[in-house]
Amino acid sequence: MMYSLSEIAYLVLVILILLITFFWLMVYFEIFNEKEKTRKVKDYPKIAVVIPTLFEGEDLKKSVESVKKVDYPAQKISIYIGLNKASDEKTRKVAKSLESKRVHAIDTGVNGKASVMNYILKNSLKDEQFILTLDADSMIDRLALKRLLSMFDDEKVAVVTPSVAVYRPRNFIEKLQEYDYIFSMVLRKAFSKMDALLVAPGPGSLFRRSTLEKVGYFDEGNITEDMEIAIRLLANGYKIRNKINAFTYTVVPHTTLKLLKQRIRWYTGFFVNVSRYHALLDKEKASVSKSVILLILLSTALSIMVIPELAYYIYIDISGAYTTVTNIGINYLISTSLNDLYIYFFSFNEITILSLITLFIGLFYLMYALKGMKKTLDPVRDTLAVGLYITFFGYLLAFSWFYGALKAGMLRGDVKWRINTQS
Amino acid sequence: MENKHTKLMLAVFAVILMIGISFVFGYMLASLKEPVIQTSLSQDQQSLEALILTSNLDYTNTSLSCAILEAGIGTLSNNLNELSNELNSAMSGSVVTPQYSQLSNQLTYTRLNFWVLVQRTNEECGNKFVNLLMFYPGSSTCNGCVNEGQELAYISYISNYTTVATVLNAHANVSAVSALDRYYNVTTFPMLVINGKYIVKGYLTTPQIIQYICKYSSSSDLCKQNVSS
Repeated sequence: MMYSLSEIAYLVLVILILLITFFWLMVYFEIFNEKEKTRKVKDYPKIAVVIPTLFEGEDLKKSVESVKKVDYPAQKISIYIGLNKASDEKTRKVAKSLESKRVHAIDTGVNGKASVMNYILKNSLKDEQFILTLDADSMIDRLALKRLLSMFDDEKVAVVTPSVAVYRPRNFIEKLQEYDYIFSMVLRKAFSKMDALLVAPGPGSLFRRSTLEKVGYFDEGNITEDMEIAIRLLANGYKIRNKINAFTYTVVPHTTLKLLKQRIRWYTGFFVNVSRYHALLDKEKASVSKSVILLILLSTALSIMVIPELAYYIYIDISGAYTTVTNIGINYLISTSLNDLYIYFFSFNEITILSLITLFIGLFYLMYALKGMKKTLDPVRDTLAVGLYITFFGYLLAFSWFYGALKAGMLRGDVKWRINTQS
Repeated sequence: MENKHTKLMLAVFAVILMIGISFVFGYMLASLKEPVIQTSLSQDQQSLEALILTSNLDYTNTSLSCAILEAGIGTLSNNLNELSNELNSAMSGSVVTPQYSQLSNQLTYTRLNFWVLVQRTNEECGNKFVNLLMFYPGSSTCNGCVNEGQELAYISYISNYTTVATVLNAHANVSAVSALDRYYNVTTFPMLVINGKYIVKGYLTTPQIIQYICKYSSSSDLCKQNVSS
């Protein structure tokens, strides 16, 4: 008996997923078992913390307070709050109330996050050597700044990214994102180890000022300027490092719809930027691992393929059940379901075994990352959370990737920031 | 860069190892399933032989032999259907199928003998059963074959096994099946033969099958009761 075409397609999919999982698992072993090369911070360079704002209101206070508490000489840090042209009155008032010798609230008169940051970088900075970007709804951990600085051991290092965690997750959606962010921390570290980290996230990335000036600041027309700047830096031969134990905290969407919108924006931006810069990434001086980028794109394609694959099996099952119900009756469907379970034993074969192995390795991969970050695992809570994460979040991510790719393709890169007035 | 290649090579090696393990365990599982199916088939073959013997013996009391046949045919029909499902499940989606094709041929042959027995019982005991024979293609796709097979199992069940269905792979490598293919001119699938005489081609819903049964065998219990579709 030979395999059918759909079985061959399924087998190839499982083998590719297994290959990618094993590859990243080996990178994870290295991350959690090897001592990282760092530079001891002896001299304390001046740092400008740039916080672009829009409608964050009271959250801005927490953000600024977190910077004031970092373990770093206070006189070496200047905080620049960038007010957007569209910023509301409440946010303006909060920003003005925070002004001091170290905190400057600057009315930029421009729209868009990248434009606000560029305005400050070009017009307001003094003699700071490093720039820490911080979203106005994000906070930095007390020990993060020194840890980020310790990774600038090479002149080619342009930016060091932190591990972004979820700030006080409350509802189900936020708690699921807490796990997603933990898995992303390890994955980003893995990407950076493979010279393929394609994002310098807004909450807490530390840039070398001179490099940022050389490459021409942030792209003001880009919906994901944090990805764009990372790709542009790599394309110009600079390095992006990640410090896994330098934490920043961010407020995350609290409804599924908002989460979906956010992810679609991110992934649309990813495809737009990768397609825009793929020629640059091929340049001789680019310090990016193209084979790993291909691996990332393959992982993305596989996660997108989950949707049609799942839809196909759901269609087969539902159409079969529908035909049975309409032609025979619901009672027969129920009575045969138990017998089908018994018959299932006979259909248990090598493909089923390989699928179970892949599932097991996949779960181990996630639990290993979780253990590496949290140090201790709650067997019940964490297993349940990972199960929910796979079933709920996996499909949400796959859909977001799929829709993002579609949108990026349809818009052919013409995706720009739009500021909606606050409701 | 070397580090990445080493990791990739190790990942490839690990995947090959996992595929190897899957196939070894798949083969071991298939080896476990095979004797289970073989034992069931042997039991069914023995039951069939016992029934054939009953029908061959010249009983003084014909009604007693007919009663034995009636009871045995219903049970055996159900057993053979289940065994067929088990074997099809074991064979589908696997390249590790030791001895399965041989078992499949044996089962086909047994089902064919069973169908012949029901035909004979009808002749000797006075059309006690509605004898259905369905052909499906083993090597090509067939719209509705699986559903029609399920419907026949359901009709057997609601008729309290006074309707018996034999489902045959028209492409089975069994000479008797080839002979039947030629006899009934089996070209379209699914194809249903009612009581060995009446041929209905193409997919049928449950009410349509019952309609045909009542048309060609009006004494069936199915025609006396209301069947919810």
